[in-house]
Amino acid sequence: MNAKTPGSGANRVLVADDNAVDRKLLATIVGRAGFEVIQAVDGNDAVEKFYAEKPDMVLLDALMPGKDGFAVAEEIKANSGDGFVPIIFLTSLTEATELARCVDAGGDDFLSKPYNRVILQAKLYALQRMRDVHQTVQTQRDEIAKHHMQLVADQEAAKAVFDNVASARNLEAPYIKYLLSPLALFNGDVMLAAQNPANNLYIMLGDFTGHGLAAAIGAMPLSDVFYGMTAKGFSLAEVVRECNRKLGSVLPSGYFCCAAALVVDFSRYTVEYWNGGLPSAYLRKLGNSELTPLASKHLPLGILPHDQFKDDTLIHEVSPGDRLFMATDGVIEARNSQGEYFGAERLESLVVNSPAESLFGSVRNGVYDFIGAHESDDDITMVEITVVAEEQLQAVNLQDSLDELGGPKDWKFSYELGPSSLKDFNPLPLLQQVLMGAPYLRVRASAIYTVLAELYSNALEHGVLGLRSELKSSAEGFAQYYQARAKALDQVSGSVRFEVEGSIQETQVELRIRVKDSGKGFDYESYLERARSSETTAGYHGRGVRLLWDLCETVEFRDPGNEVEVTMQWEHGYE
Amino acid sequence: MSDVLDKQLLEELKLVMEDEFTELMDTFLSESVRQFAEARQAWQSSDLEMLRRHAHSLKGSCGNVGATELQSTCAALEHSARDELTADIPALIEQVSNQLETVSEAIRAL
Amino acid sequence: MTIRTELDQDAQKLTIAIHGRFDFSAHKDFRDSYEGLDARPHKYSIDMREAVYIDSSALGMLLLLRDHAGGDNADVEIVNCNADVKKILTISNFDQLFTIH
Repeated sequence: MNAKTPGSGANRVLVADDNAVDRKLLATIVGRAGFEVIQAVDGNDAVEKFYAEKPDMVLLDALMPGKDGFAVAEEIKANSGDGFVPIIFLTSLTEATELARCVDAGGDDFLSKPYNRVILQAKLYALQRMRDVHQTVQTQRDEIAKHHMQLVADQEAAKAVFDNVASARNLEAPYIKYLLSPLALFNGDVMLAAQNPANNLYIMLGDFTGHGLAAAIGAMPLSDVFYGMTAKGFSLAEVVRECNRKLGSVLPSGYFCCAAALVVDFSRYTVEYWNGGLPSAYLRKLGNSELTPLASKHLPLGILPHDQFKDDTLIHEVSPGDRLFMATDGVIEARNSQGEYFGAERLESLVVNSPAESLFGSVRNGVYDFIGAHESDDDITMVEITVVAEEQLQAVNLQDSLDELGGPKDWKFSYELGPSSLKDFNPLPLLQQVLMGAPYLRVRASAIYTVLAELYSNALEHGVLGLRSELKSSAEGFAQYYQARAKALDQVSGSVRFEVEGSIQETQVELRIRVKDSGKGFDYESYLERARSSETTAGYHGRGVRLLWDLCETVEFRDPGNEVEVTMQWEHGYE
Repeated sequence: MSDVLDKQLLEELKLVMEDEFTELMDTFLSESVRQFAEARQAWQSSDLEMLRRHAHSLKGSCGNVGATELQSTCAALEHSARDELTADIPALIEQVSNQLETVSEAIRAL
Repeated sequence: MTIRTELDQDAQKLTIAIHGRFDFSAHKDFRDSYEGLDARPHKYSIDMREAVYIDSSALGMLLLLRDHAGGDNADVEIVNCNADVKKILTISNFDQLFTIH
């Protein structure tokens, strides 16, 4: 007879039988099969030897005095922890109920008397293989668990970076309500918000293709461009154009970002928007039962090359109390337990029918009710902006200390844009940048930018392009105005010239800005007369010359009306 | 005399046990005497449960060494004890005693 | 999800028919269907009749096909779109890059 060598490590067998003859016979058979044998003479001995010797398998006599085999088996199984210790019951019991009891107690197999060497060996080898497999599975499971923990840690780190960089900052204002999906790192949602130097609110929602790190990585250059350019005073068209260019260079082919961006101008009361691939945003006017959809007209960011990218935006008039609502497709695609989609119709109905003050909450609750979800299950990214009167805006954080007296104390420069520049180039960020080179001007950065913007837009639109601002006073006229603007700009011929002088003497700061356009001028006397006499005419909210009067010490028009000079003066340290 | 032990089983047993065959037989001899004594003791104490157990145990040992007739007798004794057929028991005990005597002699003669 | 292709030698047109869910799992099969062909079709047609679902990763795959087919010079059409598919293509304004029926 040959002793067959059993498989890997699992070769220690506990033999428990109170009958000395049986035990001896078994021990011999098992030993000859290549296993190491540990003997136990009864139930209690079996349990003791199990703890002490830690056998890999157990042969257990069912009926033993004192603690019987069933009790021993139960105890062994309960105390094997993660391991698998096969138990073979030795029994002369043949009745089904008795055998069932063996199984219930945890037996993995039976061996009946008289003992057949071949059968016993076969059973032992089989169980040994099972034990080996079990061991392998456990090892693999532990490996996987370890890698998984690493993965989770990596993702948490990625999420922390993502939260710092790309998710909503600057959104703690009462007129902004938002939800950013807690799964944003994984579903590709991004929400960016910032104020430009004129305190206009720029908001961009993005939805990257792909999930997880692929989306998070795209979010970072996007947010760099967005925040950087907004802070410098670039226009919405310029921001989305650069976002497209940046993503086009960073993302692999086939990856893109559906995005929509709004700019709310709280002094001119307009909303400008660009939407490439997100579901329609909505403008709900106060007291109106209609929604104005702000629909997707463009390809998502990151697809078109720079020279083909379309940055045209649309502008609507707004008034205090109007609300803007924007969401990624997580809302429309939210599903209930029957697999139905929430859908655009339901969303629109909620947006238009909910009471204005609780619009955001109503939409949010409407979605949650529909999907029957707890808050932590949601995958919703949406934002609501209420148009408020300018006075209610949160002030932008003052950037630098009020004590800065450094920088040039006495300077001037002039800057002129010719026709080929007027069409495509926005000089405001550059001018602002230059002016901020004088640190003592920074405390009024916002007002300065606003003044520059107002002077420039007047010079360009009314002076050079010859557009009449009266058009803007009706809703249809408003849209026509901007269409006419785009058309005229395409064929512009003319120039705009800035002359700027700044000085600080002791603590007295003076900034003088002169803008002259190549147009033929206008009857500014009557215009100023009208402006002086009217109170807050509807649609006039601080636009035009009233804005300049608010922010500047002096405002002077010069004949024939194509030149304006303003001065801003203040006591440094007292602002 | 050799009918008392299953020859074929013994042959197989020799193959399995090899040089430990004799030791196994010696173990049987001493164990069987002990188990029978305990069975008898149990009967005298009127402990049917103990009697059943020892009869069961002895039965098992017999099976392993091929003492088939003795094994049957032990089975009968076990069942009588289980079923509380006290009238049958004394005779069965005697039978076991005699057959055990015979089997032991046969084993010593191997 | 399965893909069936058909090459019309005369018209030099490759038709790729999508059956089932056109999502990320289709990535490799979709690419294989047009890469590595001996023929260089001039026109590609994506048949969506049997497609039940399309998501943004499918849009990405269509962009990759368009690049392969010559980018701005590509002639790629997407046909037999059901209402849901059409909606997604419309919101993304993919009709600016593909001919959609």
